[in-house]
Formats: sequence, C-alpha cells, structure tokens
Amino acid sequence: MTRQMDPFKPKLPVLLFFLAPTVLLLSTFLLWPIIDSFRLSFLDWNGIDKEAKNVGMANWIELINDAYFRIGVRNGFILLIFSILIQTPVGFGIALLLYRAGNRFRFFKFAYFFPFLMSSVAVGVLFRQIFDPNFGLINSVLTQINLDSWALDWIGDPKIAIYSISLLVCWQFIPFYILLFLAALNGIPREIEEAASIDGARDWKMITKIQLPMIKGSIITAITLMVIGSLKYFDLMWVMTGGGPVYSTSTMATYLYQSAFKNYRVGYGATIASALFIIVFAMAMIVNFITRKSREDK
Amino acid sequence: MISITKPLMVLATGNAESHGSTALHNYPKGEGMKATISKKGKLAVVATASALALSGVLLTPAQAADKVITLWHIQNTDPGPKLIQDAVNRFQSENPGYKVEVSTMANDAFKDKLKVAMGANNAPCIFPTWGGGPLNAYVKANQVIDLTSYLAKDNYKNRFVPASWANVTFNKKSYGVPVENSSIAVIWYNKAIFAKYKLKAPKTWNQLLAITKTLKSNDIAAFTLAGGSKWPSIMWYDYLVDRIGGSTAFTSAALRTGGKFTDPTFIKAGKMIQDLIQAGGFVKGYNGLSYDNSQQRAPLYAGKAAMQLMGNWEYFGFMADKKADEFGFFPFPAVVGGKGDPTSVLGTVGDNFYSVSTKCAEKAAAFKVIQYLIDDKAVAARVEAGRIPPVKGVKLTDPFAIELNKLIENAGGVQLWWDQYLPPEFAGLHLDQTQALFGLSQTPQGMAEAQEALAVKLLGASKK
Repeated sequence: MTRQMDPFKPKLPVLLFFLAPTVLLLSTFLLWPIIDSFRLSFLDWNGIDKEAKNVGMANWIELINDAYFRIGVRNGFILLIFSILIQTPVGFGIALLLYRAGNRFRFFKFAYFFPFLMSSVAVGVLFRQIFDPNFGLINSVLTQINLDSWALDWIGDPKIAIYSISLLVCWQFIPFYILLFLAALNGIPREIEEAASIDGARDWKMITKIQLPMIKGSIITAITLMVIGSLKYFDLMWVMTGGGPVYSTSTMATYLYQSAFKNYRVGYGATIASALFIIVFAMAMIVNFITRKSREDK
Repeated sequence: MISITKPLMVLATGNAESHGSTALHNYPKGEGMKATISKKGKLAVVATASALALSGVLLTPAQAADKVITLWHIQNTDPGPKLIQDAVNRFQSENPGYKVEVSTMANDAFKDKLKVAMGANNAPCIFPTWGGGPLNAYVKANQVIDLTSYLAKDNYKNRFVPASWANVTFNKKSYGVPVENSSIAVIWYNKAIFAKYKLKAPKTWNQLLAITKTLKSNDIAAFTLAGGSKWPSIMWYDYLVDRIGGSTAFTSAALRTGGKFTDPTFIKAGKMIQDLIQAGGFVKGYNGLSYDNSQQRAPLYAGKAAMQLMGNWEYFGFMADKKADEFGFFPFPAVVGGKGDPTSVLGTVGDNFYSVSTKCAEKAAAFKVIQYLIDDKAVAARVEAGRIPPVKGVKLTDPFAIELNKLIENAGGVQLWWDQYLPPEFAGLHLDQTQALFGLSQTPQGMAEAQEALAVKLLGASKK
C-alpha cells in the first residue's frame, strides 16, 4: 500500500491544539486528584494542619486489618448482587413490555422513569419516613392486615438494614436500565424479528433466541455500570442511616467520608479512596475480560 | 490629550449599560489610534485602564468600596436567621463601608463544610463552634485568632457568665465568644401520660426504672430516642458516667491525668443503659430514628413513648409543632451510691461560640460584628425568643426559660457534650460505640476497651 496524504488527517499541532483543553481539564480534575489521593494515603493528616506527617505504609496496613472497611467491601458486593439479580431482569422485563406495547402505553414510559428523576436525598428522606418502624407506611399496612410479625425495623436493625436500602437502590435505578434496554430493543432491525417470526419463533423463543442475544452489548454495559455504581455507592446509605446502625450499612464511600470529614483523618480517607479506586478498577477489568472472552467464543 | 479623552468619552457617553465590560468592548478604538499615533499609544492604553478602574469606583461606589466580612451560622430555625440578620444590619448601618455576607446552614452540613474550607485555606471570617475539641483542632492548626486582647478591651469579657468561657479557652487564651443560648440536656416528659399513671418526676435511677416498668405494663415505652443520629444516645452514657463517678471521672480520663475509659464507672454506665434497654425502656426502632426529620418526636406525640432525654432546644421543636404545653422537663436523676453531684448538667453555656479565622482580612471589624450579635438588642430579642443568652444579669420572661435557668444557675458543674469536648476522631469512635452499645451489639466492657485503646493512641497513656 502506498502512502497517501489524507486531506482530512489533521497535523500533529492541530491535533494537540484541539485536544489540549480536554486533556488539561481531565488531568486537572480527574487524573491529578487520583494521583494526589495516592500521595495523601501515605500521610497522617487531619485536613486542617499546614503540615502532615509521613507514615509510610501505616494507613495501608491499618486498612487491611480494618473490620469496618471489610464491611464496606461486603456491603458493596451485596448491593452488586442485588443490582444484577434484580435490576437486570426487572429492567429487561419492563423494557420488553413497553417495547411490545409500542406507543399505546407511552404514559408508562414516563411513569416508570419517575424514581430515577428524584434526587437521592429526597428519596432518602422520604423513605426514612416510609420505613419508620412505628408510623411508616410499610409497617402501618402490615399491621392493618395483621402481619405484625412482618413489621420489622427496616433500617434500624443492623441485620436487615443493608437489604432494605439495597432494595430501595434497585427501585431507584431500575428505570435507568429500562431505558437502556428499551433503546437497545428498538435498535434491533425489524427484518430480523420478522424473519424469526416467519420461521415460527414465538414469545419465549423470540426473547431467548433473538432479542436477548441482540441486546447483549447493552446488558454487558449495564452490568459494568452496576459493578462500578454498586461498589462506589454512597447516596442513600449516607442520607438514610449515615452508614449505621454501627456500620451495618456502611459502604466504602460512606466510610471514606466518615473517616476523612467526620473523624478528621484525611490521610486515612485517601487510603480508602485509593483502595476503592483499585477495587473498582480491578472489578471493571474482570468484567471486561469475561465478557470479551464470551464475545470471542461466539 | 485626544487619546486620553476619547476612551473617557466612551465611558461617559456609552449606552445605558455602561460599566467595565462595555468599555472593554470599545477598547479597540483606542487600539486603532495606537497604530497612527504610536508614541501616545501606550498612554492611551494606560489611560483606558485607569479610566476603567475609575469607572468601577464611580459607577458602583458602594460595591467596590465595601470591605466584605463573611459570616456562616447555623441558626436556621425561626427566629434564628432573623436574630443574626438584624444584628448584622445594625452593624452595617452603624459601620458604613463594610458588607457582611451571611450564609445560613444546616448543622451537620456546616461542620463538614467548615472543615473543608479550613483545609482549603478558604475559611469564612466569622463562624460558630461549640468550643472544645474541634475548635482546639482549628486553634492548633493556626486557623483561629486569639481573641483575648479584644475581650480584655473595656472589660468586655465581664459581660458574660463566667462558666461560658471554659470551652473556648485553651492555654489561658480565649478563641470564641458565647452568643446563642444556654443548652443543657434534660428529660422531657408527656404530662398527660404522667398524670394518667400517677407518675412523679424520678429523683433516682431506680425510680426511673420503676416508672419504666409501669409504662411498659401499659404498653408504653418509657423513652424515645433518635439513635440513628448517634449524638442523642451519648447523652445517656455521658450523664450516667457523671452521676456514677463524678465530674472528674470523665475529665481525668479525657485529659489523661490518671483516669481511664476502662474504669469501673464507664463499664457500669454501659451496663445501666443496657439494663434499661432490656427492661423495654425504649421505643421500637430507636436505634434507626433520625433527629434530622424529628422522627423521634412522633412516638411522643402519639403517646407510644412518654419521655425523651434531649437538649432544652427541643422546646422550640415542641413549640413549632404546637405541642409545647403537653410537655414538661426534669433533670437527669441521681444514681444511688454514685459520686456525682445530681445538680450538675451536661450541655453548654453559650451553645454557639463565634470565632474569627486567621484568613479574615478585617479581623477587628469581624470581632465588632460578633459584638453586635450579642449586644443589648440582640440579648433582648433572644430572651423574647425563649432563649437564655449567656450574659450576666439577663431578665428572662419566658416561664420555661426561667425554670430552666434555675437548673443552670444551681448546677454543680456543666460538662460539655463529649462529642464536642473530645478530639474529632475520638468523638467519632464514642458516637459509634455508643450506638453499638444501644444496639446491644457491643458490651460495656468492649466499648470501654475500644475507647481506652484509641485514647492511648491519640492522647497517650493516662498518668497521675
């Protein structure tokens, strides 16, 4: 192949000129903070003093032995499992119904999307009342229908609080995945579905043989987003329980905030942030690796 | 000369929006001249620039000349914001040339925001704390100015109740001015329930347990508690330690002068709390209720719980809910055989102490603003709002405030809330451990050991 001058191929200085603003912004606000938190993770600093003490690996050693951090990791994975097992099928199911219904049920598209539009803080404050053990909506209904023993202390009991909030997180994020899957379903060429239906594919077969495989890319995207989102989750845990009672709903991110801003240990907070970064990054790579393999197998 | 007048003309005859930016747009006219009259060109630029600077002063004189003083506060429930704003307005009208920028914030958000601002060298001029550990952390980081000399002037310090200075004074230097209120924790009770079951305010812990039993047999929880917010729970522990071991039990452990957090006093306090819990003393779900949306008050209003250990500010909450008449209060009971003075109280005389940051450009004026916050008019307004300003010879009118003030005046001592007295990291542990103690997932012994371990790490071993 002979080298040809591509008239549209930009020259290097031009390239740099147009890339510079983005690169500069990203490195200032994304790359630099990440590197800087790694630097801070080796310091003992309360966040206000002008000077910080270098403590070497002490923070990292403490982190490895820190039971509260392990609770945070565990809760991240509980949330992840809830997300994958609940959000994916429910999201896909509703997306499929909306897809089949077409424009007749347009209203539901908006209605289902509503939870996602509410701010997390509003959801948290609202559900703190709904979960109230004495006067909340859930327990009031349960006692009305004589299911008193089911009227639990939803977010006050450390044994179940994490599950209550995880379900709530699912409720909040399902609409996002409905939208994602609905867009993917709409992207399937009609000819394929028509051909399949001529070949005799009906409901279940249509879903498993045509629609699911065709939107595989979106499902992989969804799972990747869930991995990242669950492990670094913060909002509702912080608003509803502050990570309590007794760290039972603490995530890595709430523990980070607690350490850095409540307990004035910014150095240790940075250690948690760095560990969080490593864990999320590694998990995302693993998901990427597994899905790539399955793509190659095909 | 032409080159000087032309840009000025632009400014003078420009359109209605003629301020700095409009003049800037017209600047190329001057530049055009530069090409032809190159020698005078530079002059033109200078002239334009100075004209711009001048126009800034002339066109908006008030804004440019004002020296800005930033003030953050957390008096966010009525009439709090008005109390602050009125004082600021008085300062501004009597001290022209200053502008005070007031930001009202929510309690917990404020604590975090202030800390971040301090770390980023971006602190407000004036800000409140409760004194104690967090203020001391700022003092050590050289973020707060020493107010001792300001306070000495005209004997200003003498205006205040002496007890109010303890929490803002470190190494004999004072770093804050007490302003808002006197706050102590008392036990609030539902008058109707107490009348119905013929209960009397308990003088001792055993009487309290007896009341708990009576209420329990009538399907009423003795206490409600915003345990999800953690800080309401530590009032129990902190009070009991004081009643059992006396005021020095805690201070000698915290200051590391011989006492330890594993001393029998602390373990007994934990045990007594868990005994009360096991006797059914608290309303269902107490460890998850949040103070932020007053969740713990609902059981009180519904008659599901009879009492609450809470600061006297709860009165304002009852007032806002139009329930103030239904509740009364009594002091925390004595523990039979305990060393503590049953008249001493947990709380603060001053409540919010205002400090001036080292970053502040107008330190003297900032101190003056604080003086306006607690001048005679401000004191009168606070009294009218049912508060107890920490100044001497205050004439209270509100019957509730008068009754409460008797408790404070006769108190054998005032112990500041531990979470404000202790260094922040220790406070965090204390809050968490107490919540675990209340959740029965931690033993009194385990809590004591965890606290002592961190005390040793942060403050060193306790020596006589």
